[in-house]
Amino acid sequence: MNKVLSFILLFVLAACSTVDKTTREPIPEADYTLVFMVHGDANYTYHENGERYRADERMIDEAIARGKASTNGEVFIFHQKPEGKRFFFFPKKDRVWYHFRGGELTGKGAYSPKGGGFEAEAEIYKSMASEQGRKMFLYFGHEIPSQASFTYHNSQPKQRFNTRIFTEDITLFEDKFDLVVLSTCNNGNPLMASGLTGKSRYLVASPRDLHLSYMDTRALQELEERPSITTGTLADSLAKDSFKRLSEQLQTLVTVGIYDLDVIDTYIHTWADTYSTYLEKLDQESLFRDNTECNKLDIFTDKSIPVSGTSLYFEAPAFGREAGRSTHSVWGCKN
Amino acid sequence: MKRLVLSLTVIGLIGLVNPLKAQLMDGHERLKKHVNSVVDEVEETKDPIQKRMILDESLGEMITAIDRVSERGSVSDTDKKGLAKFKEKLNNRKDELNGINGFSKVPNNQLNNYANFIQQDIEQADAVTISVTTALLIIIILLLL
Repeated sequence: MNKVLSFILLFVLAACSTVDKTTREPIPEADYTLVFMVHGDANYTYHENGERYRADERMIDEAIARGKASTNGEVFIFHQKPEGKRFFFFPKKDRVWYHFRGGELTGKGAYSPKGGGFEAEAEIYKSMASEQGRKMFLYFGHEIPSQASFTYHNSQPKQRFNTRIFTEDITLFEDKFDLVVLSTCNNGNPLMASGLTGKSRYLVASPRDLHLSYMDTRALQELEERPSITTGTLADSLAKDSFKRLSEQLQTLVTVGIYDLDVIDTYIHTWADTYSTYLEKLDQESLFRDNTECNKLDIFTDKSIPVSGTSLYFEAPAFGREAGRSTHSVWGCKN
Repeated sequence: MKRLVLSLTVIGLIGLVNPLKAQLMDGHERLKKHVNSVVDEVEETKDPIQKRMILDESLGEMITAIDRVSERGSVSDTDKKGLAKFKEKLNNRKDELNGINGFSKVPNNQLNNYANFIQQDIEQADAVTISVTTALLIIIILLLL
């Protein structure tokens, strides 16, 4: 009987084991580090020409290809898959991380989340990240809520995730990134921009809905082919490529904004405070609506949020109330 | 020994519960699949009158399903508000399809694109802000219509 129990215990413990690192030889420092954070703990199904895709799985494939192509850089990939429990008690460590350096897979493993933010991912990152070079953080998922009130991680409904947690936890990786890309809906808003000032030099994000086919990351190849490219130029290339691909394949509205956070830092905070106060009075259900332009809100009609340090790629939808419009603000807000 | 076998069987069944639950509960997945089947049908149909009718009927059925789900006492207030927003969106699409309530009628040669617009708008991240169980209820009612 004891032998049987020991076997069961061993089975459970083995099931909890984590790391599947590949053998590592001394590896060179990286010219740049990319962090792909891909949320998959919700419904990410979409269809393209009748074919069904899972946005997170498709993005992971793209990120792995980027890891292999980054011969002068380093790529971390975190796949935030639904976290299950084995026999109700034992964390299954369903999330997966990958680490590439010099175009080679240097490590891969499974892990469990710690809370609703990035604590677990940042610990993995810190244990092996290159110290030098440019640092860029790319997030792929649903809208990061301005205020926590909705379930974000389906398998862990009690774990909170919102703009405050995102903008705080990103500093667990680096004090300041060169670029943050948010491949999400509605996060090109004053609250997110304000929260990221001092924590990233540039932000690429959409002030409105963004389709699950996500931002186009092919421009990151520029880091290999033109290492001297400025981060501002790279941010613009990423935004332009994303806009081109999305507007070619979609009938819906497409907006991709570029935010120079050092410039925005000089004015955004008071606007963000006003918006934050407004959000507190808003119906909870309204927080998950698609954004509208901030200048349509009563609080901003007399005085619009400045736009210096920003630019926007915009195409109106083919149908609906907004069809045919020719301009759009870079700032999105809940109404 | 019997106890041991029974215990292992129970543990095994518990281990199976979560995947089974996930499979049964994913109403969003099924809703997206339903919308995709409508888009496929529209694209496979040549006659624009038929295309418009398929879209009109499908939108109408979804609106009816939402109404019936909303009437259920078991549906939470939050979901009822989500359903109301979803219904408003579908009503707008129906109005535009037929050129009423201030919309220009979608031209015959644009009906495939319009079907894709409806699908992309629904699939756009967070567009369906209702719980998976409520989404599943909509699907069940759609099957019964």
